Amino acid sequence: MSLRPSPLKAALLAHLWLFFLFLYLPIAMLVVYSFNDNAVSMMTWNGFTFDWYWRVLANIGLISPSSDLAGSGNLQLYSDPNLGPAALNSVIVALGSASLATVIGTLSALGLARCTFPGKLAYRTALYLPIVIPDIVLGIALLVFLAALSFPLGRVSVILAHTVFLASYVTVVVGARLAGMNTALEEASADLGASPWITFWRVTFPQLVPGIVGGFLLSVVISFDDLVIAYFTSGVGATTLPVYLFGAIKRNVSPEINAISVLMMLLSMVIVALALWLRRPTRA
Amino acid sequence: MSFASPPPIPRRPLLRPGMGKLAPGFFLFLCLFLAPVLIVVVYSLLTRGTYGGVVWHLDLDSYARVLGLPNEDELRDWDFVYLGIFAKSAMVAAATAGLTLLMAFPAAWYIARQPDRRKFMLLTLVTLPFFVNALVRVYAWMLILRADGLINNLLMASGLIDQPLHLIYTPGAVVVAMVYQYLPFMVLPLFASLEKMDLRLLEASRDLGASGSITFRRVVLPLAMPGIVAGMVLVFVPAFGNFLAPTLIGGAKDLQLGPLLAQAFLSARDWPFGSAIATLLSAVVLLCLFVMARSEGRQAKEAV
Repeated sequence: MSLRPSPLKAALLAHLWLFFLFLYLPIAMLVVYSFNDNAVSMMTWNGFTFDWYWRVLANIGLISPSSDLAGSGNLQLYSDPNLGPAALNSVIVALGSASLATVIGTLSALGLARCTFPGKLAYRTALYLPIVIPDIVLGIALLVFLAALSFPLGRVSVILAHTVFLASYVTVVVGARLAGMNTALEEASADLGASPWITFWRVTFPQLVPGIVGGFLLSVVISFDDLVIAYFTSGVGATTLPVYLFGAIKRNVSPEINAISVLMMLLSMVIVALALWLRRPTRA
Repeated sequence: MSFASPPPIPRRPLLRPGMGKLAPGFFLFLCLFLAPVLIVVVYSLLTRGTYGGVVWHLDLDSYARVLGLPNEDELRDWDFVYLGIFAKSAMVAAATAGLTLLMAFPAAWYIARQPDRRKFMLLTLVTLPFFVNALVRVYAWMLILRADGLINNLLMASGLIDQPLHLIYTPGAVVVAMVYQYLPFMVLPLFASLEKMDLRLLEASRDLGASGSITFRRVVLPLAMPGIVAGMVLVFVPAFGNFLAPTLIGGAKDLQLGPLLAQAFLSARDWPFGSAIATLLSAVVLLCLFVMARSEGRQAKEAV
């Protein structure tokens, strides 16, 4: 408020600092303590180590368990045969469901933007439902449905489950891009004699690419993130990384969990940064 | 010109082949969203099978159980334990939404008054933690609140306490973890309505002699109301059915809806009962979203 600038402004600025401290301190703490060389009491700082990361990498199979790196440290290397397959499942599910959702969601966005039909508004609103319904309701609904059809639970069921709500996300993201797009170019292309097919691929699609890629990347992150829906639809054989981690955390906290958490966080952040960069506001 | 019929809408080149593009999405929505949700509603009206699953016999007893009504066939007396769980979950979710609002409002106000570039940067900083895995974020709070966690370690080391405080496995821990999880959901709609606010109205109010608190109550709050309602709903809805936070850092005695649902489907295998809870939960969620849509619609109408 411009009338009483200084004290209020200072208070607001101080609040903003506290606000961001609250947002980032827990994450920073997790990163710092993932390097803590204390296997027994992991929140008591005991020195710096990379051990937990080497162990996780060895368990995934990225480095050999017999290498010097994995062997160094204060505990015997314990090997967890479930971590590697869980990570692989997560990657397959994320890429599979994000690809499917990107194709289906982009088509839906194009259809919604370019034609009118009765009930369009209702349908557009209904497409938000898979996003806003509590994930646990969607998870159990799909569990019940797949069981009723005797559909086997596995990677395919998780991919299908993720595709349902990811397609809605992509529809929204690509739809926003389409709404901000000028139709004059398409009309010009048509006036100049291009077929609708050529117009789409040479005029519409290139303008849509940032939206589509952004939607795909966000889908990968959201799928990679999801615990609840995968928890209900993955069955025994297709445990994803969050489901694995959830089980591990419920049993006990451990330094390896810190390292896995930080690695997952890093992966999500890289993908999100890429997506944000693609969708950055461009200045004309 | 003013009496002529409106100009014909120009035919867009992609008009005719358009509908076909909707087919895959529509098929997906129908088969993997609408059908499963409707099956849950149907199951909630059926009878539980002896070994899990359902028996096709119409029965409202699942709802009667949720509401706590007695049932002589099942030797059940009045029992409001499930209504209590609904109430408790609603209270925890409401506390989360309220606390989130208090924290987000000043921050959103400040961000809304920054130059464009700064705004974009600050909003990105607000959203970024949202993309950290939800499980990882709850886990971080476990490490902070545990008996040998960060807070207790710091307090013990500074000599303020000599017994660790009981922080984790309480409703308060669940609220804090969910506030942390859903802050961006509150900041973004608040920012959207605060950014649009005409600051000259505030000056007018002050010039006409209103005090700061009156200006806030009578001018700022009504103008920010759509953002407040949207933020409250967007936080309340996922917090109400939250599974992760209550499961990992909630107390065993303070059962909430999310864990209750998981129990009903995975361990108790009482699908009609679980379906009844899921149906009621979805009904509450849809009601909240309806309230939010109406508040936004009313605002749009007033703006015209």
